[in-house]
Amino acid sequence: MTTEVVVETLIKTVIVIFGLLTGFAYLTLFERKVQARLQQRPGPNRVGPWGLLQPAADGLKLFFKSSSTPSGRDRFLYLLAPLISVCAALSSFAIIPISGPGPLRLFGHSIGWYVMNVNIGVLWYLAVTSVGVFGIFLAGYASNSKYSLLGALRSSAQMISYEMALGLSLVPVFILAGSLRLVDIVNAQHTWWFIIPLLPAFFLYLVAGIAETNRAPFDLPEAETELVAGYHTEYSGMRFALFFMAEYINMIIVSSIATIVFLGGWWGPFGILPGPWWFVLKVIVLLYVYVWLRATLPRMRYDRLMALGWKSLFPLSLAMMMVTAVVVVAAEGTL
Amino acid sequence: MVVGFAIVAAWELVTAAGVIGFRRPIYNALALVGNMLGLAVLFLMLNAQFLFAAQVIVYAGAVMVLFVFIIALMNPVSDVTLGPARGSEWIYGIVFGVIFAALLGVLLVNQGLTGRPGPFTPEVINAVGNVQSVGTALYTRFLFPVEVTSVLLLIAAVGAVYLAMRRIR
Repeated sequence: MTTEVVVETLIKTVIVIFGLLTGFAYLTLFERKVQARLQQRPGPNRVGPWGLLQPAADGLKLFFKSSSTPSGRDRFLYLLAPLISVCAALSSFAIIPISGPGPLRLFGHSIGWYVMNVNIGVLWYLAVTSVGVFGIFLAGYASNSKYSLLGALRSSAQMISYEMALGLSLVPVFILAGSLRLVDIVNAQHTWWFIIPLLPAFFLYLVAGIAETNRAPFDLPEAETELVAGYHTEYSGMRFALFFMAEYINMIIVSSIATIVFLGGWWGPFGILPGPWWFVLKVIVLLYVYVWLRATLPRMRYDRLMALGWKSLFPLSLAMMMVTAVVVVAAEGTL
Repeated sequence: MVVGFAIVAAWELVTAAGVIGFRRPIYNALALVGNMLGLAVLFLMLNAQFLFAAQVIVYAGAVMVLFVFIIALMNPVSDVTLGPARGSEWIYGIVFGVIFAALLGVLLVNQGLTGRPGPFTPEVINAVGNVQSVGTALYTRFLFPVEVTSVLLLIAAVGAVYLAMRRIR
């Protein structure tokens, strides 16, 4: 742990946080625009050309809004909850490599396009999201409101259930790549993207990822028809914006991990476009799928959601893992 | 490294005191979460990255979320009477305190504070990779204990399902 490493990591962290916050702002605009088009409306187009300054206007509005708070709240936990959510969301991006070691050289070695390239790789993401559950749960508990508590209970139950399927659907990738390091996983896909041999695992991951981020059609925690707004019912102004931010950043992260483990990360066909552009392009395509699903599918009933998680996705991902393991061992000829 | 250890150790002591010190159960549980996260950081400082991830995912994530769940749902604030310890509580406290201190003392005398170096030095582990070396050890040398533990957990899960089903019927 030299000073150079600390300085390099700090610089990268600042860049990643800045990038994620900008990404979040424009993802909200992207979602509103795409949804509007899918519903044959123009969408936001008044603030700036094509509505491009809309996120800035929204941010200013949320910043200057008065924050009303419920009187029976738990003061400390009420403030802590949104911070846990945002910190968990931001720090899970640390392992994501946007590109391999690039041409940029600093301190005498080539700088990689990632904050850290650790041996445990994806386990870091799973660990951080399992702590992120506390943010949502404490928000519901500290608000002292029945809608918030019900939303928080649903949300945490859903996140814990789908985390199993999410983690297990990634195991076939680890078996094929022989490593948990995301950089190694991407390099193993130089010729064939893992989506080709592992198509079922990709769909399992995508469904579990949508449930994990509490997005439509699995947005039961904030089902406005029954729960007003779920766990963030009693939050307003900037504190509400923090939860909003955490949800959208989690969408970006789930899409980024899908890009890296299944869609070949920064590798693109025919050698056109440099690596990072391919990464961003694939992430945008996956984010479009998120928005598309929200505009298309109605919300699921809660018991069906749990049944889908435990009775379909979980056994299927276990089966996928076993099949992959058997095939890999058989192909190596040691069976 | 020593400064880092001192900070984390202080954090561990403070959160451990919080686990028994706070008056409201949800804060006790959250102090325990903080304690487990600190323990995970200690694993990380000892080069045990996989243990760090397992500690956070299993204990701080899964187990403690269930604790907090139960506390929020049952809201046991009204059931607990917290006052100065009474006669019998003093005796239990002293007996278990002495046993724990004796165990710690035996460990300290036999092993010292640094522990005993095993075959898995940081160099050996970093050569193969952290996850890889834990996995190899678990599924070769310790295969039998792993399987026995998994059967035990399976029995617990089946038992829980049985109990839940009986209540529905």
